[in-house]
Amino acid sequence: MKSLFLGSCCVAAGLASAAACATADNSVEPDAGFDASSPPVVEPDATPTADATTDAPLDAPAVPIDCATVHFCPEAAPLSPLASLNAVWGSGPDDVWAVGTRGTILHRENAAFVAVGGASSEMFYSVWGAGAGSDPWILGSTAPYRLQRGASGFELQPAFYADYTPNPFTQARLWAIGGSSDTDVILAGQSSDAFGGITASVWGLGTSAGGELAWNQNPTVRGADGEQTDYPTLRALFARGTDPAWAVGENGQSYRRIRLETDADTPRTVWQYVPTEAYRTLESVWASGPDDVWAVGALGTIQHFDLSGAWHLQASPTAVALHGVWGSGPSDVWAVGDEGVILHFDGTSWRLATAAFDVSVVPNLYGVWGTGTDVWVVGSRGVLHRTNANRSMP
Amino acid sequence: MNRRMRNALGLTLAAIAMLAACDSATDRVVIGAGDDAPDAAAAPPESPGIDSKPDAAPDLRPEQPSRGICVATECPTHYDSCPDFSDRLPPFPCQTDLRNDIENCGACGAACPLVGVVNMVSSCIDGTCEASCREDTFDCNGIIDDGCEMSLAANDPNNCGACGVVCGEGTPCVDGVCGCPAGKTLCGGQCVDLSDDNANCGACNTSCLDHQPEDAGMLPPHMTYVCAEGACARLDCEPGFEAWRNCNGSLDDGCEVALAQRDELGFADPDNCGQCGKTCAPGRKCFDTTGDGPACECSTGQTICPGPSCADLENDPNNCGACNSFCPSPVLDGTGNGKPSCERGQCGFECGAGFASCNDTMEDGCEADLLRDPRNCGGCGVQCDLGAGQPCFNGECLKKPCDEAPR
Repeated sequence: MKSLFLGSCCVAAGLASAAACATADNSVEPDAGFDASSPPVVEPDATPTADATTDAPLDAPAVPIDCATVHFCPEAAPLSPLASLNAVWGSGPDDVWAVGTRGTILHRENAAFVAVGGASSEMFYSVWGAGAGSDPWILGSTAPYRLQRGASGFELQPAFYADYTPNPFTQARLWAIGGSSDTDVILAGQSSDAFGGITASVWGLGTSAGGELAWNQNPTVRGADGEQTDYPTLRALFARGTDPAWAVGENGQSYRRIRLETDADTPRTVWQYVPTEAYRTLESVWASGPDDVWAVGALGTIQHFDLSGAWHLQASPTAVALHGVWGSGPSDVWAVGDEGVILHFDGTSWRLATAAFDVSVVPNLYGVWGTGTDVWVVGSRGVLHRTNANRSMP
Repeated sequence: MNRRMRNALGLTLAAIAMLAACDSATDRVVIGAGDDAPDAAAAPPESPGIDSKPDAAPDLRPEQPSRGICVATECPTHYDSCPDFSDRLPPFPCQTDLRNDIENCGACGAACPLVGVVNMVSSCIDGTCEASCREDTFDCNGIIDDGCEMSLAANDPNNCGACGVVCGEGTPCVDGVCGCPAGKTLCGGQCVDLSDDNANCGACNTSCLDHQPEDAGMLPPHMTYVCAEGACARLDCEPGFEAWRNCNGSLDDGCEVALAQRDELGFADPDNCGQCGKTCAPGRKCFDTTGDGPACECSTGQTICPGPSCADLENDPNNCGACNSFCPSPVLDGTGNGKPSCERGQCGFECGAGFASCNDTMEDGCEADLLRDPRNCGGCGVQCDLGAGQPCFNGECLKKPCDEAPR
């Protein structure tokens, strides 16, 4: 099966238009499932041209998008053509958050995305919340924030807390925010002393000696007794319920949160190093359970932590950088990356999925989240959505 | 990595650029031009370049419209496929420009001889080996053996600024000119104005630092008597790196502002930024990003980063998304014919002009040379006639008029 690039003219770059999803038939032949070999999209003109260096959208053919023939279709989102969406998370179809550059925060409510707050120079790279009704946490490139629901809507509040100084000269890169509940919120990034105290790569929400809210250092260690401290640059984390939380990052490093009880009097929580099978940077991690963890990253890397208790490199149908992974269960996992690549794992193998874009620039895709029935993918040009209307559900 | 960026192309006519650069050389000396040197006056071949339209006809078509266009296997005029030192053929044919290749000047293997004399270099210009002098040196005596013996920096009074310019008896050569201009005096090898030079005030080596007026008394802070009309007699701000200024005009606190003074983060006074009374707008800081002195920074769309410096966090691969957030290179060895890039705050890899990644991995970077590779000629997968040996030249498969007109 040959997947197609489907374009619709007269739509500004970045403004995904659900209205473009017509039901008109086109030349796409019927497809029974995912394609393991073909590229996910075919650009209108595969021959490189000088235009390839510009952001200006090319003239796209006026082909209506038939959302029944692809796995993902654009969904309307009030996004500046110059902005990019970097992450997506939600608690349900009417509570989905997408964040990105130029201060972009979008919230899906009543089946449509709306902009929350105004444009700013802040760049957001991660979003997470404890669940429905809980205010979401949003991570800028150097500082955490929380969206607080007030009488007049959501308001973005700094979540710097004790010992953090918003000073560009002492800040370090933060990459991920996550957790398992509103009392277990975790930050991860480049190792630094941005939150005071000793240098760390992971911080957990707690209290300072003075009883104020504070981001406390979580040690990243290796060795059976955690005797050696690491200072990794972590790019992603995942935590849920009582399962062990995971953090992954540069050089293929991974860490699992455990409680070390080698000294019975002073048990301590640490992130313990778990070797992976490749040194390529891991940019995203997701788990269905303690023995089923997926991590994806640079150069199409896919690694799986399974019942054997170790990471294993997986055959990947792509060589582009993968930036996001999420699943609804062990046999329904999605991964997204550069050049519009979307992959699906059906319990057996990873295959390329198809997507329609209503702009002629194939976007890079940075985040994926869903409910099972619905899956949203965000990237450099907007939002893609998979619904029951998209055929060949896994 | 973004394929759109990977496939970035640009027209690079390196050979022609090099030729133009050589044309600017001066003081040429022919050193072993052979009789077989090609006609340097001949125009270079038309090189349509890879960004021309694919159906753009070679310039040959108008000349022979009735014969049609056939595959060419011979290199264009002035070009050849010269082997290297080890007699290995180059990876792609027709890439030696005999007009400016110092190892193959005019013909394959015709290397320009090394010139083992002072300040003289050998080069291949229009297919002929020539020796030329390095910048600011000259061969004044015409003797090859002592090379380009005259250096401007030597201030030779017999060749002052140019060959044969002789300064008069007792007149020195200063910075390539005989003597000092009117109103200036030679002090310690430099022409100075004795009327206002703090180090040579009224006479050579008379510094105002130790020639303050005897009745000067207690001076206001950061003030001193400076040289005016040949005497240390005018009360003014201390000269020096700190750039003290009397911004409030009062002598009570002397020169109270140091324009060049920095705080611990490297910022200067935001209320007197580069000059008295210049106040920076909120959100901007006063510092120097250009070397021309402090200014209110940064401009719109940029962020103040440590240094201090200004960075575009959306597009700067050294500050991608945040200050000092470097974009790594996915390439295992070498540069990969490209460089890390940053687009919308996300890292990528950008191919150099004329290169692309055609093999679905970025571990070897942009491995395809679109200007020369007959398997990827002008674009990934665009193949020349490999069986016939058709070369890829400047991103196009070489063509020529057919020998016989089609029937």
